[in-house]
Amino acid sequence: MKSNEMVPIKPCKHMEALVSSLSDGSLHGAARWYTMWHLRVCSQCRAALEGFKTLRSRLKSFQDAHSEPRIGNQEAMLKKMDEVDKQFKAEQGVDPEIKCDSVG
Amino acid sequence: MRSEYMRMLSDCEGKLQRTAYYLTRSQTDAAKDLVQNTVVRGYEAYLRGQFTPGTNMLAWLQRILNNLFLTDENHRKKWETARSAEAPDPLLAVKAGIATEPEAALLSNIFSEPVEKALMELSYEMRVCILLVDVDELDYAQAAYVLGIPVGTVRSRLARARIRLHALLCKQEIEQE
Ligand SMILES: [Zn+2]
Repeated sequence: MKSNEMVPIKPCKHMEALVSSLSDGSLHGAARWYTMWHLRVCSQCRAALEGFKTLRSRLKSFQDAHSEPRIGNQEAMLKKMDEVDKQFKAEQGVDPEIKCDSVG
Repeated sequence: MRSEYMRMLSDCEGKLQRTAYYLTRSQTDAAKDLVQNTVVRGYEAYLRGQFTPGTNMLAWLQRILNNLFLTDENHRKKWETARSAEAPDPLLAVKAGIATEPEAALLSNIFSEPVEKALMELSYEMRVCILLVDVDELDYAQAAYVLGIPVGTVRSRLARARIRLHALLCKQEIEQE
């Protein structure tokens, strides 16, 4: 059985960036008005707008599921930062605050 | 200074790690090193007053990360060109976290989640736009700053990236049926 849910996004070539930007709310002013006007007369771009929106919500759920840090090698990093502090002190004659209370 | 930097970093770290993972297409040392170098380089710049308070810390650090990634990539490509007579085993490259674009299709088999799999198949230029705007939710101007390209280029590249990503997801769906 074939699913009809996912159809490739195919806006008019010259409307690609405009329809894509409209889908994430980053289109303003005359460009937005022009795009809205085009959508009224072009079913292909209307379908594309829906496709962009679907993709965006899919990426949003993907984002929620992948927001946990996966890598944790803090010790080596903190040592390198100590080196930066030392170098900074040597160059500038100022001691940056080296106390670190944010990493457990 | 450092506690202040670390406090601000804590809001961005997970996102930096995610970007590093998707840019290097690897959970191995390549991604770890990239984040670590970004944090240290960022701290150095922070101490020197190169971060403007009140601006977006994530965008600032993503720019550093992206530049470090591209520098590494350029070194790697030069090195690979130098030894191009030998045919490299793409799987070894994948394991080492240094897969190149042509290896992406092969590599995508390693990732099971459909969106993740499709993302890995995108070229770097497309992938990074999706990551910054659709995943990290930076605005176009911030993404343009990270990548050092005009806002209009982000807009058009992002549109092409979304169309391509969506096409890859459609293809996956058809293949699963
Ligand atoms: Zn149209």
